[in-house]
Amino acid sequence: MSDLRYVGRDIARNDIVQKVSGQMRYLADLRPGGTCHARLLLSPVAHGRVKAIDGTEAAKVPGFIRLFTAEDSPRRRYNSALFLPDQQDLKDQPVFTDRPLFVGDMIGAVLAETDEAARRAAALVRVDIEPFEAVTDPVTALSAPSFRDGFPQIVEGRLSCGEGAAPREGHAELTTTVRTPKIHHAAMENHICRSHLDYDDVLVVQSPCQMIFTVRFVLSELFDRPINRVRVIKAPMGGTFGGKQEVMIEPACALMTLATGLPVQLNLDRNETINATRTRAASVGTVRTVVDGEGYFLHRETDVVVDAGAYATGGHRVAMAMGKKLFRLYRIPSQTFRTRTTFTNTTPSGACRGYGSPQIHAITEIHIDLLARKLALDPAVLRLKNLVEPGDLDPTGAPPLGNARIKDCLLKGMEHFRWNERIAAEPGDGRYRRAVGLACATHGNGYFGSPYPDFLSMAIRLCEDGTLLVNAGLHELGNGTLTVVAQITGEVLGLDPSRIVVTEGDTQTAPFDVGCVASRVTYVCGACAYEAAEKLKTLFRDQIAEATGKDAEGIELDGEVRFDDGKRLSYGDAVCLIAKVLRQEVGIYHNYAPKANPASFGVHFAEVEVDCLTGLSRVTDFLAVHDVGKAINPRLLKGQIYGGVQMGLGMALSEELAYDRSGRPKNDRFSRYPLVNAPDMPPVDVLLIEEHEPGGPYGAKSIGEICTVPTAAAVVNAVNRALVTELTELPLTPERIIAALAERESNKTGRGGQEQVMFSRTTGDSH
Amino acid sequence: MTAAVARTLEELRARLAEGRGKACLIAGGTDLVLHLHEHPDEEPDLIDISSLEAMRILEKHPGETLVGAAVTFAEIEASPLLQEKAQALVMAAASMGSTQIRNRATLGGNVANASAAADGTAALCALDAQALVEDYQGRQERLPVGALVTAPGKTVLGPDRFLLAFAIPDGTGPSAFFKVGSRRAVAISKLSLALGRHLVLGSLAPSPVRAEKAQALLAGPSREAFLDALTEAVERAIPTRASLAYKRVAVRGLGDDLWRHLKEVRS
Repeated sequence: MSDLRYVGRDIARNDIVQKVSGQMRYLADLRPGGTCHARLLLSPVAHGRVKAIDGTEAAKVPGFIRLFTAEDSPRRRYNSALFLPDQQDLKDQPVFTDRPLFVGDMIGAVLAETDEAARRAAALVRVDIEPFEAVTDPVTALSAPSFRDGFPQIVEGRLSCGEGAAPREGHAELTTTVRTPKIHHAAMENHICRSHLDYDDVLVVQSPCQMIFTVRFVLSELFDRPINRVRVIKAPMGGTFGGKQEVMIEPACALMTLATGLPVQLNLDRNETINATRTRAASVGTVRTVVDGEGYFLHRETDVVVDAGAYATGGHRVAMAMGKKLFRLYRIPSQTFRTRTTFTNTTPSGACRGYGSPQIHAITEIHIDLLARKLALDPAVLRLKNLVEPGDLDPTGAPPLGNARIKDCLLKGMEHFRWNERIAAEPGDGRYRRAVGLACATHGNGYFGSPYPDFLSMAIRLCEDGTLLVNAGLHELGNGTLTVVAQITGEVLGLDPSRIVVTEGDTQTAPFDVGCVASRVTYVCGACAYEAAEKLKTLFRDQIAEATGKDAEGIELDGEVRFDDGKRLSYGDAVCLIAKVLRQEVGIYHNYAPKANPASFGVHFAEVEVDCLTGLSRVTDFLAVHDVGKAINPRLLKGQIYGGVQMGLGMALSEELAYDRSGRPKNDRFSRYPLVNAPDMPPVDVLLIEEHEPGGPYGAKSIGEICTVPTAAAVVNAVNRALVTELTELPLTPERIIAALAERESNKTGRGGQEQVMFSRTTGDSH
Repeated sequence: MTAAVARTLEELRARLAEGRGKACLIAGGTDLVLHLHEHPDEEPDLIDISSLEAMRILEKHPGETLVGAAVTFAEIEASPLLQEKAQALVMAAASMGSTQIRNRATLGGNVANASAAADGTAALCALDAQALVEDYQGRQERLPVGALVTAPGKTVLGPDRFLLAFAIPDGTGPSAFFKVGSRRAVAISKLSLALGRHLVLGSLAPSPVRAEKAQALLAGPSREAFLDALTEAVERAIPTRASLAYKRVAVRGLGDDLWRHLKEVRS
């Protein structure tokens, strides 16, 4: 495939100049004026009842327009993850509530002429709330009474295959419990939305979102409007990572427009985005694995409690998505998975890069390393015995794994990382300890095989000047979706991607698409673009043949029209000729539904150095190996991996949304929520396995989510190896590391004293 | 809310006299702007002192070095004079915040904001620095920096007085500053250790805490004894706090850093 001109090359992304030069106009960058501004009133208590809201002082602020409360909210409740009427997830969330269920729950909003006035007025609204007892821990929540009137406190789900394993001589087993934290997405752009009423009573909502048709569906249901009078337009986006996947602040914004007829802009600041939107679900998973004498997996049981936060949202979907991954990485003849999604008085969870995959892999991959320790096996060797092979089936009946190249990832990665040599090295016994760790992972490519229908359409047209317009309901999340689609269509049509425009979604003008979610964009939308371009190419050739009277067989389309008699015609001239002679457009509409959902794979290798006195862990070297089928744009793909590693390191070491006993967030600002920043980023090396995935455009499959999935476990495994600990509560903060060392030492010496952790030796010190 | 710029001490005194009680000094604004953003109902009359000449000094005087209250952390970090006379302050400045924050944040603001985690305050206390405090009528006095902060976020300054500069005495001996936060850079100190005339621990109490016994052992032969004394100092300062378990160990890391640093400096 070396004859590819655009696919597989580092084509500059379409918006690079705008973004780098600061010309990109995000919603927050629109010039002031032309819209009113709203600020939310968020609950200061984790659980309670609003007794009174007094807007007297707020109303005195010049520019104040109106105060909105639960009384203005439609009776109907919604679920922010639904996109088709048959979906049965609980609809438990009101737009504005008088029964706040977490700190950050929306109890109202203030509308004013300027943002400043809205802020000031919102600060002056007096809210009288009767606080109730809060539940913040998911395990405690399992047995707590439901605080969500009439809704169950636990939603249970199960998956299984095989018959179990009878205890037998020579078998070994291990049970491990791992806790993963609640995490903030930390996109650079906070949540923002604009709405207004347009001609013909159409409600227009501009939102940097991932699923315009979901937003349209929820708004239509909530406000009882015909779907064709709700127009949702994807706005330029400054990052999401799933945080803007579900319907978030669009209902509140639209409500204010519908109530007043005014254009409204609703901004959230960072603190509000952390508290009031969505999080990665915290989870507590217990895994038991039975192996035979040689280390082959016989049976595995996984039980995961998933913290949905205060509302159902997509929480249980995340939990079930976790379970599905368990059957697609190792050959395990017998397996059970049980999940209980439960509810706490904390910020609701929802989609977050990996959709449960980073959590479930942290749980199982940390467990596998501890199992390897128990079996006295190299953790890479234990995995190699059990990993899936290309063409393997999913034992639960889910779609086959496709060209599953996880073993290639692991073997090539081991060589590249010098695994055998580094695993044999001693961590040292001074202040700083060093060791390596690895973890494997799998993730999907879309919705095919799930309860959610996966399909989309695209309309593509060659214009009179020979440029190409791909009209699609896509969402550029910052990862290069539009560029990749331009590369694929450009490759088919021989057109330079710079001559192609791929649109973002607008529900009024773009064909339907499920959304830019679920790692489906390259594999599914890219395949649609490929087929659409092929279809257009065939049509174009036929049209040229008809318009010129020449034989279609002798026409080559290669950026220009080449006839077998040596004559040439530009695409633009051909389009005009067809318009004149045939009175036809060179355009097609193509519907596409995938017929497979193969697995993507990755292995991450980390080297860490742990300071046994300050408890700080530094990742000193990192290798990410990924089975991507084919890299359409290697540079963009690597960019996603670097970012995915950065997120995963945070999950391993520092990121955690914690709450005090009353349910108040402890980390709801960046000064208290340590993301991994540039000085703490290790060099990240990337190795790609490109073995062609059938069904994907040019053999490509997903990378956007999988690249953050194995990271945390790889780092934790390295730390546990460096310290000879069994740390399983993420993130591995300095406090947890020091506590674990103290505990290990006191166990070792049989003494309770903490003095034992205070190392007397220091590497490199001579005295 | 109003905003005015004071370029001279006379202008500042006049503004303070007329806006008494409601006036609020702003320099780098790296703490204050965040606060105002979160409290839009507060409407102070801001007086910008970031370009007030008398507060921008950085000069050697007989027996001491004067650092104006509106000198930024970036300027402190880059000052050859301070590198010679107040290494602890330079190291504290270099480890504080991000480049962007250091370009704006001032030493006076760091002290006046009265955070227990103020790195500048810890370094100044170690260096036995005095604050030159002035009131709106021009009356000056000198106060030890350690006596300025009364509680988290509270100082003895009140609405009528302001920080003009800090005087760092000569001859404090080798000085240094080490801290630990949640990551290597752009992190609030969970704990800091500053050496000058005194050895002090920051982020344990509203004001830095002296560690006299440890300081005495710093010149001795046993690093272990020195580290043990640091642990004791932490245990004495926060006997019941949940963070004790961590900080009593972490302080040994900072002590180890200091021990090695001094060895390097001396050799």
